[in-house]
Amino acid sequence: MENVNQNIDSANQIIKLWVEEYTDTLYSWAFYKVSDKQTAEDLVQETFLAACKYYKKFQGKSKPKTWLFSILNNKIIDYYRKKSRTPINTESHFGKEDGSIIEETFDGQGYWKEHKKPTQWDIDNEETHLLDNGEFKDLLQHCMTKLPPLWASAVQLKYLQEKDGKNIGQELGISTSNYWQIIHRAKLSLRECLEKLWFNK
Amino acid sequence: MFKVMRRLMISCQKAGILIEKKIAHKLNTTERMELFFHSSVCKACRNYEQQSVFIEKALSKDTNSVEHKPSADLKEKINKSIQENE
Repeated sequence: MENVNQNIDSANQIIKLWVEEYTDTLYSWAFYKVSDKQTAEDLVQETFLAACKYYKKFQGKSKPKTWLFSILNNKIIDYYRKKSRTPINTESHFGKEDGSIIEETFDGQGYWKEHKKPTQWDIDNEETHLLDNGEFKDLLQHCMTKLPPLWASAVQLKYLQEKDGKNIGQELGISTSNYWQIIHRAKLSLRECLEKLWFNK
Repeated sequence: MFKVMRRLMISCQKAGILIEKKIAHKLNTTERMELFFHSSVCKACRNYEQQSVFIEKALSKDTNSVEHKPSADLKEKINKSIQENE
């Protein structure tokens, strides 16, 4: 018994060192993915608690940082799965959001309304530069927070896991064609947000 | 002639969905034809595709260039919760 306790002790001692070393990096990533301070801090805390629990399985097969990040990413995926099912996502709410961006953007035949047509963005020469621009990435993040929860989940889950539309659709309880519609609507919304706040500023 | 073309022509709304599918994986032959035909005459959808690809790149870029700092007491809080769980 004493031996077991000693093992737990030393595992926790090691993890406390990791807390010291990796908390900031993990937090920064979590915040980048969920855009909410409290949620990001909770996810990092849960990550370390899970690390204590599963420390035996770790056994130095990968770098601690890699292992912690894989736990954190799973926590973020869980967060978005849950978020997609939050009560705000009732049929009627989704229905409303769902219809409005399409109605605002396209006419009855499904063609762009004149004032909603995407204008040319000056990204050809600037692209690499923009992708590394912190201000631009912050803005993109801001635009993400404006998406309805189900849309945000559909977009985020796509990048957090190597899964295709069919699988993510299943995860979110929607059909594959509905998944593509949601991705399209999310992109329309992000595009418009960026155009308004960055490109046509 | 115009009528026939109009019938072959998909809407911008449908073209947008095909563009998303195209970015994520592949289109079948019909879809590819439909999108090609549509985009060749629709400047707005060509802009949309370019922008959608760009947003895709921005979202999938795995580096967060901006460092965000947690609350000063987060480490302490975590260490405490580890102890409580012992």
